[in-house]
This record gives sequence, C-alpha cells and structure tokens, in this order.
Amino acid sequence: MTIVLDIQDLRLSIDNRSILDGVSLALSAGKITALVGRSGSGKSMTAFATMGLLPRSARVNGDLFFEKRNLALLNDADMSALRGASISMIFQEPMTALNPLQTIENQIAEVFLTHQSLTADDARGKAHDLLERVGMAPSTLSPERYPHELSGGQRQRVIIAMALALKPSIVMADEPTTALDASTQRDILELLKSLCVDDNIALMLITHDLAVVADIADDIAVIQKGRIIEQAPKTDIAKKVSEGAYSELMGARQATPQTTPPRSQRRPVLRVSDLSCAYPKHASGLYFKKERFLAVKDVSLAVEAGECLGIVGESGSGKSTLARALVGLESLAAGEIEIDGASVNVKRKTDMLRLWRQIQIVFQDPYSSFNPRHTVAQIVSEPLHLLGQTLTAAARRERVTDALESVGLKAEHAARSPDAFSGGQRQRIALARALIINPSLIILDEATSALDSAARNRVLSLLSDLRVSRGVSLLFISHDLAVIRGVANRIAVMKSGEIIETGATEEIFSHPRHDYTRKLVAAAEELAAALDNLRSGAL
Amino acid sequence: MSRPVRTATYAGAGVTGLFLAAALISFFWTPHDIGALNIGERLQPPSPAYWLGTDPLGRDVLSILMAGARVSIAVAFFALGIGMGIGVPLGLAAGAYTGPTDEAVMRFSDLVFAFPALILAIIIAAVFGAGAYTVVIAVGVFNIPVFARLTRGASLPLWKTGFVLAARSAGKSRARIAVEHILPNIAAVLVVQGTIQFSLAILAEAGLSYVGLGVQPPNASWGRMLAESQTLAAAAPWLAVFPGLAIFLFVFGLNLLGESVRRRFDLGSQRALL
Repeated sequence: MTIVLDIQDLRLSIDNRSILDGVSLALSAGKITALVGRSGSGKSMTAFATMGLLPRSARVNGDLFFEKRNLALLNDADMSALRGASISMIFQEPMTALNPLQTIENQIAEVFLTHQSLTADDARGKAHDLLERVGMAPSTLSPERYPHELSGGQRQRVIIAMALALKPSIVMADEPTTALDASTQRDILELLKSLCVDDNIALMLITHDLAVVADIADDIAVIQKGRIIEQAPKTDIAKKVSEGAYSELMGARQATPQTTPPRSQRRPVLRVSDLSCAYPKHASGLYFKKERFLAVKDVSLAVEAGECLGIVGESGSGKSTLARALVGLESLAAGEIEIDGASVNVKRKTDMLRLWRQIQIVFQDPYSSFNPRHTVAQIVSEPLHLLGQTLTAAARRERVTDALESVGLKAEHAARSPDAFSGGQRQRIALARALIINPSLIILDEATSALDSAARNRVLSLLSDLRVSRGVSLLFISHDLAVIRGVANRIAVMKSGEIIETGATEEIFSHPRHDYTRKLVAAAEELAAALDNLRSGAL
Repeated sequence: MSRPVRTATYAGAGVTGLFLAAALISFFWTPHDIGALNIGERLQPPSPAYWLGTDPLGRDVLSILMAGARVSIAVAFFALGIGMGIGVPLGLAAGAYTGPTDEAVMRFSDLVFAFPALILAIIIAAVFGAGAYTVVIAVGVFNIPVFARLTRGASLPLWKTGFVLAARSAGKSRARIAVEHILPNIAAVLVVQGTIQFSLAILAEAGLSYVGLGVQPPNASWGRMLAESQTLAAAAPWLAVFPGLAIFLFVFGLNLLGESVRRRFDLGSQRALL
C-alpha cells in the first residue's frame, strides 16, 4: 500500500480564527479514505488546503507531502499545474460546477484541450470514452445534451468524468452525493469506488454521514473541531461504533413509529387539487413563442390536522416549487388550494393573509434564511404582522420568548444576531419564527438537509414533540426517504413534478407500488443494513 | 481592520474633513476678502501674505478656493441627493415589482443614459440660464439611472433569499420588504457608489463651470477658477495648479473613505467563507 498524500500536522487559520488544529492524514493509492465529521469540523477546509484553494487571509502551517514534494512550499503557479492534473476535486452541487451553456461532451473535451495538445476531434473522442466509463455511454445518452437536461445523478457523473479525465493520483470528493436521493447516491458511490480501484486513485471522500460511506470506504478518519481524532481501517472504526462511539455521525436511520391522529379528529387543514406550476422554458420575448415547462403537474394532496405528511423526491422533482406555490411564493398555472375547507384565491391579498395565518414555511438553508442585520427577536417576531393588530412591546417580547422556548432556545437568545448560532440552532430559530403565530401547518422544505446528523436528529425529535404539544401539522419535504420515515406518518412520492404514490409510511415501506418508490425504499433499507453492520462490527 | 486599511480610512477621512472644514469656515472667515479687488497686488506668486498667490484681480487664491469648495461641495451634494432620492426608490420598485414597473424604470433609465449630461445642462441653461442650479439638476438627473440600475441589480438576488421569502410568507407587502429587508442589505453598495458619484459630481461641476454653464461670477467654484486660469496658465501657473490639486485631493479622499465605509458595512465579504 503506497501512501500518495501524507498530511502532517496541518494547521490553518483564517482571519486569526483557528480552523484546522493539527490534521494528520494519509491517503493511499487505490484506497478510499472517508473523512467524516460534523459540519464546521474542518473537513472541507482540509481539502481546500490540500488544493491550495484558500482565501488570502488564510495562514497555513504543516506539511503536505505529495510525490516527494511538500505542497505547502509550492508557489501558486506550481500548484496550478498540479490542480486538476494530479489532484482533482468533486464538489457537492453538480449544477453550479457545470457551465450551463456548454454541452457535456464539450465540457469534458475542454479539460483535454487545455492540458494536452490534442485536436478537437481527439478530445471529443476521449470525452466519449470517459462518458462511457461513468455509465453514460454516448450510444444511450446523447453527449450533446446540456447540463439542465440531465438529472442530478447524471450531472454528478459528468463531474466525475471531468475529475478523472487527466488520470489524477488523488481525487477529493466533498459530499458528492448529499444533494442526491438515496438510490442515486448509492450508484454514484459505487461508480466512484470502481473507477478509483481501476485507475489506482487515492480517493478522499468527505461526508458528515458515516452510514453513507460504511460500505465503500477502506479507511475512515474522524475529524472533530479541526483535529483528526482517529484514522483507522473501517473494521476498527466499526468496532468502536458497535461499542457506541460516533453515534453523532450517523444519520436518522432509526425509524420511530409515527402516530396517526385518530380518525374522529381527521379534518384536512390543507387540501390541494390539480395544482400546476409552470416556468418559461426558453428565453421568451418578442420573437419567441412562449414555451412552458411544468415543474409541478396536477398535484393533489391533503394534510390532516395533527399529521405529518412527508414528500420525497430527488432534486428537480418539483417538490420545492410545490412548497413555495403553497404559500404564494410561486404563481400557479392551475389548481385550487383550500384552507380549513375554504377555497383560497391566491390573487386576493385578504385570502393570502388568511393562508399565511395558517401556513408557515421553513427553508433549507439556515444561513440565508435570516436578514443578517436583524436580531433574533426581530426575525422571530416578523410573522406577528399577520395578526393584524399591533401588539405592545411587552406582548411581542412574551410571544418571542414563548416561541424560542418552545423550540428549546432561551429568552436571552432574542437579543443576539443570527451569526452567533450554529446551523441546527438556526433552523430552530426558523421554526420559532414559523410557530409564533400558532399556524395549523408548517411546511419544512428540506429543513434538515443542511444539518449534520446530530443536529438533524435533534430537530427531528423537536418536530415530533411540537406535533404532539402544539397540534401543528407538518408537510415535510426531503430527498431522503430515511429521514422522512422518522417523522412522517404518511408519505407522498414525487417524480418529475407529479405525485406518483401516496400512502401510510409503513405501507410505503412494506408494499411500495411504483418502481421508483421500490428503488428508493430498497436504497434506504440497504443504508440501514449497512449501518447495522457497522454497528454490529460485522464488516 | 488591517493596518493599510486603517491608514487609508484615516487619510480619506482627514482629507475630506479638511475640505469640508475649509468650506464651512469660508462662510464667516477667509484669509482675505474675496469681494474686494486689489489691482496693485494682482498675479502675485505664492508668498507668506498670499499663501497660494493672487488672481488677475488681486484676490487671494486660497480664499477663493475655500469659497469655491463651498459651491462645489454643495452642488455635488444636492446633485447626489436628487440622484439617490429618486434613483434608489425607482430601483427598489423595479426590483420588487417585476413586469411593467421594472420595464418602465429600466427604459426610462436607458433614455436618460442615452442623453449626455452636457447636452442636458445646455438645454437647462438655455431655458433657465446658467448657474449652480443648472449644474445641480443636470448632474442630479444624470445620477438617477445610475442609482436606479445599481439598486435594482443589487436587490434582485436578495428577492430570492430565504429571509425575503420568509417575510413574504409573513404577509408583508413588497414595498415594506424593500424598505425593511432589501435596502439595509444593499446600503453598502449604495454608499460606495454614492462616494464615486459625489466625486464625479465635483468633476462635472468643474467641467460645466469650465465651459461656462455653471456658477457665474462673482461666485467662485473650482471649475470656474480653472476656466479663468486658462489664459494665464503659463504666466501664473498657481492659478491652475491649486484648484486642480484641490479637485484631485478631494476626490481621492472621498474614494478612500468610500472604500473603507464599504469594508465596514460589508457583512458579505466577512462571511464569504465557512
């Protein structure tokens, strides 16, 4: 086993804030090393430091040995020559990493054209070979497609093809599958593994979820607060996990049975019939006929009082558009929304005020959800506007305190800036903002996807508590079926803008009817099994 | 704040403050009376009695420069006021209400942009006569589309952020969100553009006064001083050098100040990472 990259005592500070505090890590050829840690633990920064992609205010100490050279001592020009050719990187969000105006074959060919003297035809030929290797053979899928014509998983395959184009010795993949649904995630990871073994590449796989890499990693390094606390073969880590260690690094895979409200209390708080949302497809203007793309197609659903309906689907399936349309943030092409049995005219302000009074929404990104110039109190009290009456300062404060306490925060947090809080705490603040007017339904749009496992589990159990204590219904949207299983009593599966299957959670898991659902369920259960194996040390 | 940044801030604040102080002091005191002609002392080079020399009418250049600062700064200030006062609300509206409002604001901006400030000043001068007000209106109108476009451009991405979506689902009107959430978050950009436009307005005033459309004698302004020095530039270079230097230094100081204000305001650059 040859060590390709040897990181020794890497320290990094940005603006005098310590980010990495002595990271030592070795990557071996043909092996997959998983770097696992909670968000903010420094795992991405380790990769950026290795690539030399750090902001100017960063100070780096330590040694990074690669091919008998110390990367820490290289100047930017030498580093540039290595980047892409010898060390390459795969990012989390495949859409932003691709040029939307170029076909995929040209984007891959470009990698060859910039680094090797080839003719355009040769480069395209090589691009086709690569596409074939990543499972997108030009004969089955046209290489002349544009990124937006691909699914999330296909885009990530293109990114992988580009990363492997120049036969690098090291590939660093930063949460490469976090944006994908479980079945795609599985395929991508297996593809990565087989390619790395074939090309004898040292792969560093960065993730916050131990379960995701349980199957494919050879070595696991656990990072905490900028320090590697352990790097060991997977079996050793598995042994520790079976003894109860690192539970915070594992996803919410435990299915807690969710109670369905008794039949007598059932009344729909929200009912949606035949809802569609459209976007203009091409640049529409004077000379173009307007073509529309239906992001949501004839969706009908109902959420009953006190229940949690989960909506699962991969990115691009239209579930976020649906969520936004439900609270008037997207215009409707067709369809009807009913709140408490009364129809809502989305074009009438008074109707929308009534809707917002009953439905509030929590968004995915805990960092862009708050005005950075407002205090927590200002943020949380914003929906009080909907009550239509001016409250006294004392009454506002009381409601803010009440909302903060109901999500497990304290009254004194109200005066702080949102910057002072972690991602998990921020999602609690967002929940407090939604709860402050006692809505009957809260929509959670991928509200836990940006959180690490420990924070996610705490938010999920908070959600279950709120359902019981406040009687609030939830519409929980996620790409992760395993997470939904832990909160929802009913699940709707969404694909290409349509709901293809709806049913009670256990029914979906025991008797999935649709092929796609079957794939999702199988992947979720394989993950659970991998985790169980890890726990029982049976790897 | 790093050391060079702090130095730049102090230098910018110092230079700007010096000119503002000189302009204010000139209201009740100048080294010499600028109204009084003293032909015997005409075209004196700089000396202990006349620090920056005298003009062809024997008036003290330093005194005129101080009084001129008053006019130049006031003109720039009001021109900026018109530009921001009208341009920023227009830009906010264009960002908030897509569709016809946006189109109307943007096409209006194109129209004004297509119309050079100089031509506008000539037209206004032809109608109302040349003077400080002509310059204020011409430069002010020219500033409206600058701020309208900048405000619209900076606000559009904010309309897609979570906190704006949350405010909308809290039932707040677009107008209220624009004031409460959008404006404070683009203030930094506006302040920087404000300092740039302020310096440009100083230059525009100088230019328009130079071609005779601006401030009329006996009122002084930096641009007028330059215009009057033209024929005497070889014989009495101090007449051209000091107003030119004043314009240069004041604009430079403003730009330094604008940059450091931006750094202070800008939350974005501090949290770009992590």
